[in-house]
Amino acid sequence: MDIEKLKEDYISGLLQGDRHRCRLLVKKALQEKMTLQELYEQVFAPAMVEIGRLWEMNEISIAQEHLATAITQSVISSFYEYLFSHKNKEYKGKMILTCVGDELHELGPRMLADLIEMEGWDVKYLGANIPVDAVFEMVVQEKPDLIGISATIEGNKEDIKKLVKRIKEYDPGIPVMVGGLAFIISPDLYEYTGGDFLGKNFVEALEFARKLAGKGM
Amino acid sequence: MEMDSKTKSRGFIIRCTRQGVIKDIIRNELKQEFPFDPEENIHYYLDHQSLIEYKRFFTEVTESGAGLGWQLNLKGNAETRALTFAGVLEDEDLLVVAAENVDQILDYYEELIKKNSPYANKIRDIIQRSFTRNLIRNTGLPKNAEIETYHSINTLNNELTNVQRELTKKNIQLERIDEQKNEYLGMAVHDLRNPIGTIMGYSEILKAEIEDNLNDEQKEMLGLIYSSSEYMLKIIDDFLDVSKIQLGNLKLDRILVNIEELVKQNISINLIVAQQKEINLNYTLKGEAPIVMIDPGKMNQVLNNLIGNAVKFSPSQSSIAVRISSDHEKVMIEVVDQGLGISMEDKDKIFNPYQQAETKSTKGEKGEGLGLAIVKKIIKGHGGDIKVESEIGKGSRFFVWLPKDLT
Repeated sequence: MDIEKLKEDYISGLLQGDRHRCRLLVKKALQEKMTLQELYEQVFAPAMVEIGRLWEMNEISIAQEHLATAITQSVISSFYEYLFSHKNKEYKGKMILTCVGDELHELGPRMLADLIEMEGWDVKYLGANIPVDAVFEMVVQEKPDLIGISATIEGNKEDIKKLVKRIKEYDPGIPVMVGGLAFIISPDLYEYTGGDFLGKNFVEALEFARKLAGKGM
Repeated sequence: MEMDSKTKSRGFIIRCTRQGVIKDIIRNELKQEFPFDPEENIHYYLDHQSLIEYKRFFTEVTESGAGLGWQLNLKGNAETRALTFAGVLEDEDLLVVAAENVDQILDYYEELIKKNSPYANKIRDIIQRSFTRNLIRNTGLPKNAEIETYHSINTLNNELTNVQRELTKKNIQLERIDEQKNEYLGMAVHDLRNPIGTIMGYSEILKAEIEDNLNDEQKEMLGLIYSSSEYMLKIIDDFLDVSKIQLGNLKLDRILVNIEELVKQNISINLIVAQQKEINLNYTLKGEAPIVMIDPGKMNQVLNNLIGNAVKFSPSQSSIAVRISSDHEKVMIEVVDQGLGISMEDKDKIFNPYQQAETKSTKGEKGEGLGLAIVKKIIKGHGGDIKVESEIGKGSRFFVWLPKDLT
């Protein structure tokens, strides 16, 4: 299976706003035994980076960019049935994953939620634009074994810091993993916001979750 | 866009105070022409006209956070050069990016993002804010209206996807729980079957052996023990069927069967009860008697259930019609009664296990609500389907079709 070709075809489907074609391409790839992780890491993520770049370069309109995001989201949601019935049966723990910042860039953490879910975790994905209070309330209610916070813009650093602080005051034992573009672009951010682990990519985040699960939580 | 590597990143990025004093030179690919001194003021390099323009550029940046595409003439060592300026606020300072054209400013962005430089984020800010502003200018919409609308739609879409994710997850959990429940039910019911079989067996023996020595009341009690245990056994067998069938264990032993004979058998079984209620139970066959590849035992269960139900729920002195017809593709069996009918709401429910329509039987007969669920499973297992049409107070028409195709 030629992943590079699939990625290009997928991007061209996105640019043409052809969601059926995008769905078919991906369905075929899954039938040809491509894993969800390969698909997320090597097709969706780079495709959306490319779409973002084209928008920033003013080569596509804001409408096309939004449509591309919505199509990818719809393609991802079409695997949910597959995801939840094929996830690892061994229960690894409960995770809350939230995204601080603008909702245009929330596909990354959304994909991470599915990848961690696949390993046997019960991941509650909260998405973007959720106020700190609401996230904290969910933490109290769900008592997760792991919390993930993703941020795309540095501008949200105060919110992240506040959230981490409240979680730690509530229960210092709950590990907090942070990640997202903002942490990569601004290396000082991790130290500023606090947290127990910085996941720079899907692989690192997955490894952290695996390590925690291995501790017999 | 031209992507000539030689023209990449030809300009400079500097940080200066709001007064224009250069604090930091981040990048300078034009240093031969503009060897900036960190103590100098950017104003020093601008000609008179450009100084006025710079002030307007500065105003745009301070008012809206970023500016892009300003043409300024910069005085260098050798000559004056027209450069494109972009700027963004950075805390108290101003970050200024200048290059020959906008594309080259974008090249800076691409280069910096590859290096994970924090300045990439700043340039991204400039580009996004400026393009967004241009878009608003071009569409003539009230400030930010279009962008906000897109964001709102996107937010709603995200929320819907989250709900969809949670629902799919819950649904799959429920399916698992349902499977487990059926498994437990199957085991529990199986364990109940033996003792009830014992009760039924011994009460039958007692009835045969000592009935003559009993008074009427005792006879009735013994009769009730027998008939109740018989009834319970039937329920248990139905439960076992449901739990087996729901676990996917429906096993069909198909042979060639004359449907007409099967229907006639079932009519004669139900005829006694029908006659007691003075119900006219009639049967018609349109065309030739169809012969199909089915499991006769299972299909017997289907017919007995449909005809038995019709008799059970029909008022006395009404009629029930059983009709068989066929075309080259399928066999159709209809059971039409003049009973109480089924409401629209119940029509969807009656084929689900453990659900029975509100309708009371005419003589208060008990029903465990499994019959039609089993019927549907068996028919589906044969590749056919069952539907019901009904009107409250007028009666119901159950319609079964089975494929003729033997393959």
